[in-house]
Amino acid sequence: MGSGELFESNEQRVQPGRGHEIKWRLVTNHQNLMFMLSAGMIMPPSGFGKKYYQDTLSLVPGWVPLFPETLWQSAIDHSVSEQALLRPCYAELDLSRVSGGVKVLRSGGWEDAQFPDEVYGNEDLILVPSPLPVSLVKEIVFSSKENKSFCDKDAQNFSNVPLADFKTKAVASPFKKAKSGSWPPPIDEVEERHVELTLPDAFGGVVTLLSRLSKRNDAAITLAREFFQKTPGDEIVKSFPMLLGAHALFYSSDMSSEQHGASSILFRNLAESLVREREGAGKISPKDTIMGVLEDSNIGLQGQAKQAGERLIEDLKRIVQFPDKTLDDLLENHQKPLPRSLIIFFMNDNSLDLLDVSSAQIMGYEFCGAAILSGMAEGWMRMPASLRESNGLNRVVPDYMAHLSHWLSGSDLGLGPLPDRPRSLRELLSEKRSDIKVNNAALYIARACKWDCIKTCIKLGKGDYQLLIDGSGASLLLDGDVKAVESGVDQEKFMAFLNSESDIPAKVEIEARKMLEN
Amino acid sequence: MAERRFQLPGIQDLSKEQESVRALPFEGQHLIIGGPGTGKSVMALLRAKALADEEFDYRFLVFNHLLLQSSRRLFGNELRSQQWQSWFISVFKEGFRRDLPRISSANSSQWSPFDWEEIVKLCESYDADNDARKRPFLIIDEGQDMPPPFYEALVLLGFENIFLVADQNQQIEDGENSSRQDLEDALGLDADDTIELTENYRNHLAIARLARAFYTGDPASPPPKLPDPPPYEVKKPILFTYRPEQFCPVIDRMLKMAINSPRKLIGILCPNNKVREKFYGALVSQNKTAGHSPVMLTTFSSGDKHEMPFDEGGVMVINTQACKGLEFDTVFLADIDQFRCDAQNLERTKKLFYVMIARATEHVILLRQQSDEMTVDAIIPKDSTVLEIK
Repeated sequence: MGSGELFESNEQRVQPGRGHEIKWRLVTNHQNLMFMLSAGMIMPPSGFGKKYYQDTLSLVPGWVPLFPETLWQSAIDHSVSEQALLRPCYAELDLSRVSGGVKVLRSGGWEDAQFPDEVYGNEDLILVPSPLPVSLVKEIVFSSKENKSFCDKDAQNFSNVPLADFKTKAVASPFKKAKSGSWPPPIDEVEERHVELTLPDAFGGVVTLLSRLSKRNDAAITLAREFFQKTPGDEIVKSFPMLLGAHALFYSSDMSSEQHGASSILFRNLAESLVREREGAGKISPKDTIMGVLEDSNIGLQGQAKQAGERLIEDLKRIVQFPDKTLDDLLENHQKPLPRSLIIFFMNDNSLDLLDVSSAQIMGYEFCGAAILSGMAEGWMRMPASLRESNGLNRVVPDYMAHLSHWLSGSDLGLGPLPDRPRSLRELLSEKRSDIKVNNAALYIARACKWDCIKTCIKLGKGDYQLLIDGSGASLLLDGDVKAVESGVDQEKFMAFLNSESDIPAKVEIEARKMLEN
Repeated sequence: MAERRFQLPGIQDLSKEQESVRALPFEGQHLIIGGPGTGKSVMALLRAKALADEEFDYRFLVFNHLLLQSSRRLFGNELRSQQWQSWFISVFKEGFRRDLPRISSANSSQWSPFDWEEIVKLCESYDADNDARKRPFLIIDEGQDMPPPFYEALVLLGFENIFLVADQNQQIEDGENSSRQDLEDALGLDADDTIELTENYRNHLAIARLARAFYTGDPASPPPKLPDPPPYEVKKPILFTYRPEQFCPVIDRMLKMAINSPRKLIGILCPNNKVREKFYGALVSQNKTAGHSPVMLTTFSSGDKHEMPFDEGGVMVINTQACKGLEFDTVFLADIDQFRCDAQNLERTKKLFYVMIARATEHVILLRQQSDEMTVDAIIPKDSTVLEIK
């Protein structure tokens, strides 16, 4: 893993050099492009599973080949050679935040160079270590209006291709002016790089679910914050020791049985198995994977612990086979956090179903445990678009995923400062309850959502008041001016509405966030 | 109960072989062959969406009314779908200004089969070239269930753009089906032109393995490829044998399953009306007295006209014959001891089980009443890695 700090550092913006001024272009086809937009990262062929169509990314796996403005015709042809319906395109990248070691092709030979200072624009091609977050994509260019329109329509056939979030255009000239050059160029001198993609994808899944849960769950607010930083704070260590196991998995922290409880270590093993299974054939279901870990870990147990383990395994099996108990019945029989998290996880087949679960018996902490397992199993790419889009996660999480990948892969590539971590409206609103901004935002939400929690205070001067009630309503007669009319929300009622299952309309949420953040 | 979730596939969900089907031109005749769970119907629905996006006129033809309802619920009511026979009757009437020839039935209240010989003869004399009306693009789901003369008639009537998905191993009704060869001949395709989908994407692997145990082995429609079973497999298909006094607890567990997963649709497939009524009646009765929020229960038998809520979770009790092409999260094969499995109909019953099991995406439970005589045992797999006996 990387020698530098993760997330916390990297705040220094790199001074623009020659490499930063060049329009760097990745030549690909529309299918691979859509896949990468969905995955959140420009990545090597291994990230596509079985659905990689030959393009320039296979030149040296682990490196992203970028042309300095002028494309190669042979690279364009190669990128659409596998299937007749593939459309050529390129993604223009903004590398002004990027720095570090790259490979450059000059006069037919490869050299090591530091980006941006040792890159001058006279290169035929450069190789940048994978992955790059899709936030670097400045625009996507197609060779014709017909190809652009084809891709626009094709993206709508999938639930998770956010093409509309990117600037796309049709410009024929870069394709017409493409120069000759034999693809692939000689690459013997460049070695493949192993790139860790599954853990970052799992990270994206976990923080997405925790962020979503943090709309209604205090434990999730804390955990979402902790998972975005490498070193866990005291709160997670004290309050959520079991879930520390999942945190340690992302940040490769050592876990010893003396320092960490058995449940924390088992939770890490469960989480790790879910992630590693996705790296393989991916044909073993998450529940089978978990059952394998539980059965194996139960072999070494004795006495009451073994009996409890057997009882849990039997109950989990029944949940998925032919249940004879409801969720509430099962929770009554299991009181420890790990079994309860596993029961919630086994009751549901995907993250959306999990988020639907509602039971007075479930503690926030246990719910987060199930959500973390679900996030590990599904990852960022399988998260439903509705979840990825909430809290602006899709604009932020891929950057964290790419940083994590470089750190885990030991790369020295700098991707520039990270965006602020996403925060739920609930977190923003609960930070400073007395703040006038918070009051205004809460009032705006309550009015827009028609929540019955608004209270108004009318301050009056000294004097005699007369209350008149007639057929048209009531009025208060007083001498002089009203000093102030202040509306606000009843905090308790407001938070109860906020914690409820119903979503705040997106427009209202955006406006409320503006009010809080400005 | 809650609404079921339907959404377009993620980009990672469609394989390269499925993408090659999506890439086929709108024009021309295309035959897609594949076993259960290979995504044939998804391909057909995506084709309908693509045609609709381009504002082409199309018809999505399905085998029966339940499948018609299910497809509309999956796609949305804007799907221009019709039951194939209803559609063909109207097309014929419009073209020939007369009723469709039928073979008279002894009982006037019964359905009179189409007289295909006469229909094809009439279609041969039809001057399609001089009929200026534009023919819609046709998408045909479960195309193996329509007879060969139907396709002959379509071509003679001038329908040039046909997208047909089929699996000849999924035939329930004898006599009126089309083989792969029949379909290729009717559409004028070489065997190389037919696209085979080979991987199972829909069913849980344990379900696909159980279905394989009932595969009757026609190489024209190869079964989907399956990986080896994993070392631990918790959701394995179950064969549950119950004594009469255990029937009520079985129904109770079905209801608990529905309560635990309110967005899931459970299908109970019954060998006959008697079994269907037994299960539906017991579910209704216990649903009222169970002390939980009621589970959505529905039933359908041949001739029923009511809409079935395929877009909501709950329990749906139907007969085996109606299950073609449908999709449930969990499938119960109710009272399988009622299926006859002597030498004459062994093959047919295996095909029936193949189709029923493949309706499930996540889980299959076979139920049988304890009895001395169980001819169905002849076809039940004995391998405990394929079917767990409880």
